Amino acid sequence: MDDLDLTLLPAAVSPLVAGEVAGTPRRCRVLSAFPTCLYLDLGAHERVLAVLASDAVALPIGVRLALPSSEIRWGVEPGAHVVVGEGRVRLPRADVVAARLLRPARVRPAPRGSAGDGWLPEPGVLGDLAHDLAAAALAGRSADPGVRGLVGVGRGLTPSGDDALCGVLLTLAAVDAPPARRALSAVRTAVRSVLPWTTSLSAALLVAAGAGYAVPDVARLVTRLVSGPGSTNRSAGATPGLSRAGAPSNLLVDPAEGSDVGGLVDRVLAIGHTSGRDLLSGVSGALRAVDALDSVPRPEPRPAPRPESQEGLHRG
Amino acid sequence: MADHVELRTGAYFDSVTLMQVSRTVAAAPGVEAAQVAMATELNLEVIRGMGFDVPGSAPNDLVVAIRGDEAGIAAGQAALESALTQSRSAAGASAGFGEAPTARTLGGAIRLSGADLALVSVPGEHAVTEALDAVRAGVSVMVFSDNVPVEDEVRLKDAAAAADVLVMGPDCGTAVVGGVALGFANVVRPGSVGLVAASGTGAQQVMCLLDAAGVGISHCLGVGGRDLSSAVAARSTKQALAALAADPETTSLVVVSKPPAPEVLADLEAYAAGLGKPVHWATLGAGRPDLTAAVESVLTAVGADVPVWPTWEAAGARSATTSSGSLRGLFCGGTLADEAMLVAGPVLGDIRSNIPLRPELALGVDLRDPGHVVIDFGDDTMTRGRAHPMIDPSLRLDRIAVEAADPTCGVLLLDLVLGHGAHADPAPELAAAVRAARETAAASGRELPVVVSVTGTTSDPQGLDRSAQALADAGADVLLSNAAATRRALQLLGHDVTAPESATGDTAYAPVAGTATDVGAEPLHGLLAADVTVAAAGVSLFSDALRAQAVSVTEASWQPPMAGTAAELGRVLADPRRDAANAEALRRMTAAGADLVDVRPAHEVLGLERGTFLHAGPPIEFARASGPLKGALIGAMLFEGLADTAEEAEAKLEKGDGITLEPCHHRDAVGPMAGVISPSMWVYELRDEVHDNTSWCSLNEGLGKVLRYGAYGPEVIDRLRWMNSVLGPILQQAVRTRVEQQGPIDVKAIIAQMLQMGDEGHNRNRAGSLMLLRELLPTMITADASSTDIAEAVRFSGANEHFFLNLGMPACKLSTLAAHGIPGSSVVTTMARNGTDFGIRVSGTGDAWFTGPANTPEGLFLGSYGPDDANPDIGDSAITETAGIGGFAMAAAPAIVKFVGGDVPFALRATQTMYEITVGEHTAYQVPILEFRGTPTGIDVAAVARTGILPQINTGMAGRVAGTGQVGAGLVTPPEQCFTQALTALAAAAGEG
Repeated sequence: MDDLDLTLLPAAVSPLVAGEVAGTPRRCRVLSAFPTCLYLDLGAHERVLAVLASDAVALPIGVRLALPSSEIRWGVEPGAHVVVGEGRVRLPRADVVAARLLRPARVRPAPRGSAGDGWLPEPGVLGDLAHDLAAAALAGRSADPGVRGLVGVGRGLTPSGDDALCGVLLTLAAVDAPPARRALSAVRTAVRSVLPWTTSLSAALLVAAGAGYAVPDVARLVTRLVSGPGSTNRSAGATPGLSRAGAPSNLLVDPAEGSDVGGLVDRVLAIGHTSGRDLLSGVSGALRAVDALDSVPRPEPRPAPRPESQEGLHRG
Repeated sequence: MADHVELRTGAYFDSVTLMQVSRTVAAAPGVEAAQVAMATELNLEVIRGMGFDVPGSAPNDLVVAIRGDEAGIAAGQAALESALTQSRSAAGASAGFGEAPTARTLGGAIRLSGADLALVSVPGEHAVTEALDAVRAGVSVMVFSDNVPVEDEVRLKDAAAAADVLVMGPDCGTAVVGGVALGFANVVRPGSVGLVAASGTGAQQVMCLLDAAGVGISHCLGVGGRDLSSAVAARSTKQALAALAADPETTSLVVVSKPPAPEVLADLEAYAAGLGKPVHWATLGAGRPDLTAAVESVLTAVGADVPVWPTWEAAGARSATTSSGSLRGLFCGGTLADEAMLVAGPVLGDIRSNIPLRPELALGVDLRDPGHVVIDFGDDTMTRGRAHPMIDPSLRLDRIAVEAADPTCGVLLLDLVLGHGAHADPAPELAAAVRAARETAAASGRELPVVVSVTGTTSDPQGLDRSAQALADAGADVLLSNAAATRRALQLLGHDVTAPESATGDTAYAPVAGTATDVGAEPLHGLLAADVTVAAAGVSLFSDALRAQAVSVTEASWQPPMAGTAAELGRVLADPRRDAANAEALRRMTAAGADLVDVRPAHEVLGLERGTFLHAGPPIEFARASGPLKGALIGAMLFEGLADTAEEAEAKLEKGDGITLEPCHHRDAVGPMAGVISPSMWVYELRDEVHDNTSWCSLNEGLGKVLRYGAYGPEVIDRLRWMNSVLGPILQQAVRTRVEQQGPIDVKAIIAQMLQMGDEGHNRNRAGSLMLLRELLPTMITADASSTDIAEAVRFSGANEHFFLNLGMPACKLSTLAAHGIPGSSVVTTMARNGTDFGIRVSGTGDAWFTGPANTPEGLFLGSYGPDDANPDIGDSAITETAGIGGFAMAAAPAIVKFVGGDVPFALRATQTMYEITVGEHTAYQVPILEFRGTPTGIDVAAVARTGILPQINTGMAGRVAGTGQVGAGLVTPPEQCFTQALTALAAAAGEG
């Protein structure tokens, strides 16, 4: 495509970054540049803006174009500066223009359904660490040691430990039960205090995960795994008892189109180098902790009662 | 001054594109008038009305009519070409080297893109076919198209409900899904009010009023103008309400509609009571609140303030006197027109209209009346073959000028709708028309007051304020509320009307039950939670509007089906047996075996009597036979000793005494080119043990002057004799010994391998011939014959690059034979040509042939031969394409373009295009360069008719004159009518079945 055609690139903006995109223009450093996306430093350590081509992983902290990476050249290198503000990201070749707000994918809280986690790969040591963290938080013990053992640990732009932490946060956000809500709040608080220990991008994604936001496939998968894979109305094997009343759930829909849980798992595993796998390790561990809580009825641990209002304190 | 009129076939463009092209051409220097349009009846009427003389044409033809001086016509044509090219490239034609062509159908576009929402804006008679593609793929679909029969709408919506997808439409102009505006939609702030709209402009009015009051919307799900009619019974509305009720972003619901059927509304109110969220009603009707009043009650219910609705007063002083005369409402929005009549009716009395409130108030065809008149220019009957007035305002602008000169017109009431999908800047043109109308009236001593209701928001691309101000500057009163605009018009006519109190009593509040929504449920496959990607078929304007909103859109390069097939296509596609029958046909085609088991004289195996000749293609009598077929029959007469000279043979054949001509296919045999098999000739015998079928084919004579190309000179006859006396018996011994020692030769396995070695099995058989020879050699050289004869047989076979073709063809015949005779199947099981007619047979229609005149191939010529020497298409060898190889496997044989013409990207594209018209892929025949994708297999008559894509055939070209032989090789397609006739027969069979 001719470069001239690219002077204005309409983009859909995530509400998580819409404030900065709409705000007063400011120079932002390019943290990294890949064919499918750019990461821009919005100032604070954990504030990152992802500029995403349509074939990029749809991070919840981005402005997303409708064009694939094959038709875009960013024209910037890491370390360069670009101007963000007034509804635009000004790149050397083109302006990315905020055309609408998009709705980033978010886990949908639901009661914990039947366990059916055979879909997930072997969680390994990361899964154990995630389990211990989630179990501690669910039991009302301090989340700090568990979080500190994970955050920033491993290689990459999003270290493995962070990906697993995201898995824990998303799982807790997806379980509609008071202990999970309290545990989510505790883990979020603990994470907030150690964000400087990891990369800016990873920090930004941890903050998003704390509010339940994730890549669409991840959000959908976590929601389904929590509520039990049987309740997914697009899956081929929808259990009649769990399918929503009113509409038949699986007629005429091609079960092979990859939207069943197995297909979702495969797509999540394909994210990043190990990011998808690490995140699922976190989900596995956290789900194990949630199930342990459910299966062993015991008096609700009541440590120092937290005022409800504290929950919102860490949303930034 | 001269007229230039031309027809172009196979050039389809949507009406919006052509409107823009027409304007470009008309604006070229020296052009006086121009129209470029599809040759629909309405368009032809318009073009003839402009004084052009248009020859007979089909609706799928493109008519180009340009009037001007010589230079003007040339400039107009140049402008046309560049405008058409631009719109073609904008539609995203395939870009990369040998890249797959863009999908022709919505289903194809959905498969390619994984879209989760589909948009259909093709002409109404074709809309259901496309929409069903989406429903079957589990994707919700907005159907913008109108003119869809109501029974089709019901059928479509029932299928959609079963698949848990929503059909928005037909005739759905407006939707907003997760912040994405589809069709005509204004840019409104996000919020928590969810709309279900059986009315496009009604929904736009409600959204714009809510937006002006600072209240945002979550989604607006259109359901089509008829959804609340008795016939459709709110099928989509209920689904949409349920989806919004389950959507966490939505806290209150509003149903917007033109006057609904009372019993449907009552039923819907009961349904809404159980949803767990408050449902408000903006359903127009006599005695019911207008849309503005309904919005005010919603605002009150959600705790928002009711603002003073914006108005822009007309510029300049107006005389205090009120106007006499009648109300003339000229609307683009149907619901806005309805609302105006409902508001004005009780004050003015009868209002005549093309969408009257009561049938007896209908306007005549001229749409004129001296009394009160309201016209909806967006009605179905006004948009056939042209774009919606929100895009193409010309009809209404003309009418404004007419009203200006009409002394009975007392006040003009207009609407102007802004937002995505509408005209990019409609206000200046309308303002100019308003100004001109007022001046015309003033010139005859009248003051013509004009009131405009403008539906728009401050965020709309056209700009609400700017647009409204332009109209006010032209002398119109402009109001955001359509109801208030109507009252303003009434006041200008001297009627004392005031707005009613806000209607607050009409909301059916459901008890809010916290448990009513299932938190885990994601109705409509999660459509409302996802950031949508779209697949579209039809008007590219809507796709452009989506791209401007940063939505990924994959457009099908849709074309209307073959002319006159829409109704039959609908019946065939709806045949409940078809899917399973076609799947079974494909299964049998790919499962069929093909083993070479024997070589024998034809009279032994085919039961051929002396004087009986088999030939290629559908049945034909000698008098109609082409040169090559006549030549081959003459040669066969000589060979059989039935005549001593060519003249004698021809005379006997013409007389027909004791001569019988019969298609090879009638005896399960096949013959290349002329395909003549006489009783003495030797044939290969192939078996399909899976389905217990047998097929036969003659031995290949090599290239050059040969019988199958119509040559019958002495060297041809001598070669045939040698083949009978030497080659046939040696091959027979070789095959029989081989069968005894190792079993039969697996011809299917050779085809699978040759496709991976650069052959396509029709016009390139090099690897196949060598592999066949490799299988035969050990037993050929040990045959009981002289070493000279064996050496000559081996040399002859090895020198012939098409040695294998005569085995590939019967192998393909066995494949299609297995698939023949499945009731309801629309899979082609025979394609064959006799040099005069092209004929096909179809699995579900028995042994009937569907024929049309054979086309002449285009390609490369041998020696000094040229196009004039070529005979029309001939031979049974198109059985290879019928079975999924040949032209269908061209991507496997890029080198073939040096023989048949075209280029390598063409070869890659040819195969990929054939997937659009085939039922599936072959399991054994694969194309390495397409990642070992199976070849496109099982031509579907319905898909051919629907896409207009004809099967691609690679073929040899015979000389036109008997006795010439081969003159070249090339590419050819069957004539359309084979498929349209077959479709007719399938449609009839579907009715019985």
